[in-house]
Amino acid sequence: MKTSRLLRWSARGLAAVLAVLAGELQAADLKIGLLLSQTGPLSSYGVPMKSAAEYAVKLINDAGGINGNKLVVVLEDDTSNPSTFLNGLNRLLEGEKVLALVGPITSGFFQAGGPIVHEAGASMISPTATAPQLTVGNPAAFRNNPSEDVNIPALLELVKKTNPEIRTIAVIYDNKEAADKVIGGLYEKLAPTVGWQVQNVATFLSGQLNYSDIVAKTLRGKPDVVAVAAHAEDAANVARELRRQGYRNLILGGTPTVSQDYIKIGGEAVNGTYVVVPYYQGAKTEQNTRFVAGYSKATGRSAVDPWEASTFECIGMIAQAMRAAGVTGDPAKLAAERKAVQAKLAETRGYPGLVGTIGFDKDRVATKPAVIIRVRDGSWQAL
Amino acid sequence: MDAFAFFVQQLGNGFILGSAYALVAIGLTLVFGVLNVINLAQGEIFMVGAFAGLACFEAGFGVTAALIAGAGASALLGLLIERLALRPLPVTADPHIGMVSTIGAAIIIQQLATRFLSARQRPYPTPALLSERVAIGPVSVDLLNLFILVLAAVLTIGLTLVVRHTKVGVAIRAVAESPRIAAMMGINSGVVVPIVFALSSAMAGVAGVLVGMYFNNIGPFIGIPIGLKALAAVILGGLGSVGGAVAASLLIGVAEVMTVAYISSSWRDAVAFAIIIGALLLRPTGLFGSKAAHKV
Amino acid sequence: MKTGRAPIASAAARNLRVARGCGIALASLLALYLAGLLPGLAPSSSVLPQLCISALMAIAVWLPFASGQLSLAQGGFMATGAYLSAWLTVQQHWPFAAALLAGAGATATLGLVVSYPALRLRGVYLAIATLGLGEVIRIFLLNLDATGGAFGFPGIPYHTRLWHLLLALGVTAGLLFLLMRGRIGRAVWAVRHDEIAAAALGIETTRIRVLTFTLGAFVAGLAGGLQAHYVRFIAPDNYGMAALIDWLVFVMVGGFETFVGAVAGAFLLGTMPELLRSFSDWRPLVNGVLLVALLILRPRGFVTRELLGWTFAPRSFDLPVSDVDSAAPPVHEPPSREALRIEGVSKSFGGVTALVDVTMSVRHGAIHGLIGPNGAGKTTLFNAIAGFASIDAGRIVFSGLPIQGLRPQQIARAGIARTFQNIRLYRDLTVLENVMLGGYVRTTSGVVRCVVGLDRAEERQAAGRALQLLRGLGLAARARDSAGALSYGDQRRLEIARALAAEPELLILDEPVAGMNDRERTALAGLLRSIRGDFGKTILLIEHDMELVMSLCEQVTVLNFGHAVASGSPAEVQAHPAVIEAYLGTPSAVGA
Repeated sequence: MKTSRLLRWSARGLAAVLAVLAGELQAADLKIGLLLSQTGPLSSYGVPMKSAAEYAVKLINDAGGINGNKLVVVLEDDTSNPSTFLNGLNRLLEGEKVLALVGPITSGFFQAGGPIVHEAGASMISPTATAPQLTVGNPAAFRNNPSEDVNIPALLELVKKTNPEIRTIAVIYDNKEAADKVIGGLYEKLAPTVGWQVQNVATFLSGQLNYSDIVAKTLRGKPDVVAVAAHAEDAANVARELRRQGYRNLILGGTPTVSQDYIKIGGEAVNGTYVVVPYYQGAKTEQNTRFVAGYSKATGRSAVDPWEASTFECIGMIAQAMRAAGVTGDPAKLAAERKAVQAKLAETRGYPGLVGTIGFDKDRVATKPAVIIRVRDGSWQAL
Repeated sequence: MDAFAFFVQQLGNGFILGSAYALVAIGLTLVFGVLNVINLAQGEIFMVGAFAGLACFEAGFGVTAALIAGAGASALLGLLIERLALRPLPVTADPHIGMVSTIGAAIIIQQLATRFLSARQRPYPTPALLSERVAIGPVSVDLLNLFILVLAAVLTIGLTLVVRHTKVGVAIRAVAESPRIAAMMGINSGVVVPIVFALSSAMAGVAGVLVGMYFNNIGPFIGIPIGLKALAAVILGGLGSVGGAVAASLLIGVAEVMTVAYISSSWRDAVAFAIIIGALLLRPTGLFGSKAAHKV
Repeated sequence: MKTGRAPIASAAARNLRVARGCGIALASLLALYLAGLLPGLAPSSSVLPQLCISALMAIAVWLPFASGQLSLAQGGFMATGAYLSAWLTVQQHWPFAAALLAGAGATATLGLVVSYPALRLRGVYLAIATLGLGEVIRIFLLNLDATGGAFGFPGIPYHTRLWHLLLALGVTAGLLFLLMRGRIGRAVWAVRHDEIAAAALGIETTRIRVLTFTLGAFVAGLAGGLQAHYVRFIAPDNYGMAALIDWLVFVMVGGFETFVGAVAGAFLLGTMPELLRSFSDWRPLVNGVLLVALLILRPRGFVTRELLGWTFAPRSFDLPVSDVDSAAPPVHEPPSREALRIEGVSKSFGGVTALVDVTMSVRHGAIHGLIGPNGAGKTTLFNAIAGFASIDAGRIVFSGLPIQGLRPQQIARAGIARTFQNIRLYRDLTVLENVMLGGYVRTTSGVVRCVVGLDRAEERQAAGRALQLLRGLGLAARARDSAGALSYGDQRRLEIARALAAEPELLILDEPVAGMNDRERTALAGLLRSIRGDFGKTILLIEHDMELVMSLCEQVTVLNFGHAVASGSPAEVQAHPAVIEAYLGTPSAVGA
């Protein structure tokens, strides 16, 4: 009688254990890898991007996760060093067995990691990388930054319409950063299509501090408008130097220029900068208003930069693809689930982004609406 | 602006850039003179001085206070480096070891700066007084530019006078020539070396504040290119030669600016280095360096 | 006389044991980690390949440094090999091996071309010039749109596997081991530590420098090509200052005495970022602190020759079968023959006249003294004979052969060996190694023979001859001690032993008894006599010790203000009025 009671309790215990185990297997974590620089020169981008990713994950999990599974991000700091980046990527793919990745920040690293992610059958979305041909030919490569050659003409048209007296343009761009090189090249190529004469094109390599010589060269011919394609810090300093040397007209910028730092560093000099961007904090869509409010409250950050918003969107898109593919996080099905996520991601159409709907084109470059904004009275504002 | 005025203006820009390099370079060459070590942390010392000046400005003080703060903070840092990264090394160690130790110090300083000072670039104020423009001949320059040139010249001449005519200066030159014999003469290199470090670091700190005001902008990574250019200037001018360091700094500054003005900015560093290589091939111990005499 | 030696020796021995123990522990830890056997710390698949590439680059930086040239252009060389081999495989569709070798070969050629002007520069001047070169290459690539410019060069085929890298590293290490353990390795060390002594020993310093520089460029180009086809994407910024500093630190901290140090540094310090991952934010700071700490603890780097137990001498050697007497040159010239004739030699430095129309003759087999007040021009004359100074006029004839204007190495090969006023021994090498260096001109194994291991027989014979020489000079017991540990008198004798190892006909000694006490001086005088007698050498020496000169030398020449004022037997010279005036001054002269 004692034995039978013992047996009964053992059976119950075993059943309980089995139930827990089964439950664990069912509710496996779904892992996304984050390849964002937390130290080194790019850390000023990477650290807020990590916050944005974690915020996105929190929202998703609070809403019940993905098909009952919890979403988890695993971070690798590439310390802005190529070797560390590679090792981190491999660790995420081999060790952590992530289903998809968000990052890295630069096109250079992205191109180094692309083939590896492809061979692993996973997917990688960069919220910020923009080299041309970045994702072409690699089904695992995605970018959430749209192509600039779609948007720049719109900006040029608008400026021409509101400022018909403009005849000449000078262009300054950073020859070292892919995004800026592309944008600068586009300004140079497309300005004639609106009837402007390109007077001078000056390039520099980012990381220098002194722009007085470049600006002097640029302003020598007294252009009517100046286009500056550079990252926020450099662009702000160029703007200040332009004003210092007497330039009073508009400045046309590029996507990498748009951040709070541009205004903080540039001060009054950057008033009158026009940019066409896929995101800005003041966008009045319902999605964005909710995002900005919630994000500020959760992290204490009052200023939201485009790369944070982009990262937020990337997590969301991957989550949607995971949901659509019905992934379970079962390690035995890793290869198949990675492929499924990749396929669903590529099929993304009409995803509710922060400023409008997002879809990926045939080269897996995001197509999303752009808006023209300018700096006025110390903040980015819609026209 | 006509071609001549443009040329003169660029020349002026070159001299100003060169003066900034010179202040950093002088410190480097002095330290090499007494310790036979290239202090690769000099760029970071420069950066810290700039930030100290910025803090002063943001606290509401003026140019003088900022310069003193910059000099003081850098001098302190220089003393720390000498005490912790160089003095513990044995005298007989290969001189490259000292240099690598300063690399370690530079990494540490930069990490701390990125973490505690600022990871991004920060705007640097220019005092209103110095923003006034004056016309000199065909060009108009900011008072700031003149201020930088004059201050750099004053410091250089002052330092040269100190080294040539004061007791401290004699002690420095004695230790530079032979620490052992200087010790026998009663000169304590344990005092002279820190003094030299403090002086050279202070000058770098002043340069930091000046550069900050001139470029209107500093960041935690500016030490690297400035340190490299200053080092190149020191080598080009001949190690241990203060005058050489200054002349070479001006040459490099002008070469850089002229490259940007007349060729393209993407080649600015390449041209500067090409000039250095060429000059060194012609004069292997630097423009003003002493011919390495081999005593057999 | 040996008090205090034992405790110091055992303290040093204990440090060595501790260092060796640490080394073995670290190496084991590293091996475990790389094999994935450390719990919780599994390396990703790219860790070991990247360590191999770093190790190759550390070797590339080490090679020129081993001969005293700090070249900071290695980043540019790596980029050259990378871009060229990538362009060949991607655009020209070459097979991997061919492209790799072409890239490395082209880089080596570039290195060769650069190494000649680089010879003019020393120390930090060379470092900056090469740094500039590296930067120029990098900026050139940044602006070169054909290979992507700043965007980088993507789409490189994945050819490099781990076995490629291990093979490349293994072969490089093996070849370097074979090359550096014998004659060439000794020569490289000699050039690095004392170029002037090396030249006097007949070592072609130019060739050694060019050799190591070119080899360094080759390895860098090879590493670049291998890495390009591993990572499949290259960009100019990967070859900049940050990477260069890493490699330099590997070499300095790992140990710059041998290539093992470079490899050890690369592996240990390259793994640290992985192991320190949990410190993530503080990792670079920790790196910096560790760097400084390691340097202070072991300023010669972690791996030293001592740690490895490596020497430049073979473990076993063949003693010459024949006995001491036949170490003498086979043919004795008749004693009246002239060994050295100096005719009308003049030399000035700028405004200073050092030698004026000096004529003297040294008889074969004699011990000839050269004396004179300080500044008389004695050392200048020596330097002229030995090839370290040129002369403005006159001839110097050695055994019928005009030698004025020849380089020191040629003079050494002709059969003249010298010692120096300030003793130029290699203090960190052993007594035996120093003497074997002296025999450089009598051995012939070049790079090829060393690398295939055919130099062993010659090495053993050379070591045997060296040991026999040491026995003759009473230094055999100290053969394995480092030269710097010897007493002053012993060091002078060692320098003479080293000079004798070249089997010269003429030995020129610059103040051989300076700083010695009575006993040592008498011993040395006896030694010189026996060298002349047993070995049949001619000896020319500069000395200030009049007693020694007058008792030892058969002939004496006196210099004063660059003029040869007297020449003859000691007695003749002592009585010569010009000599008396030179040393003591005439009674009416105010200042001599």
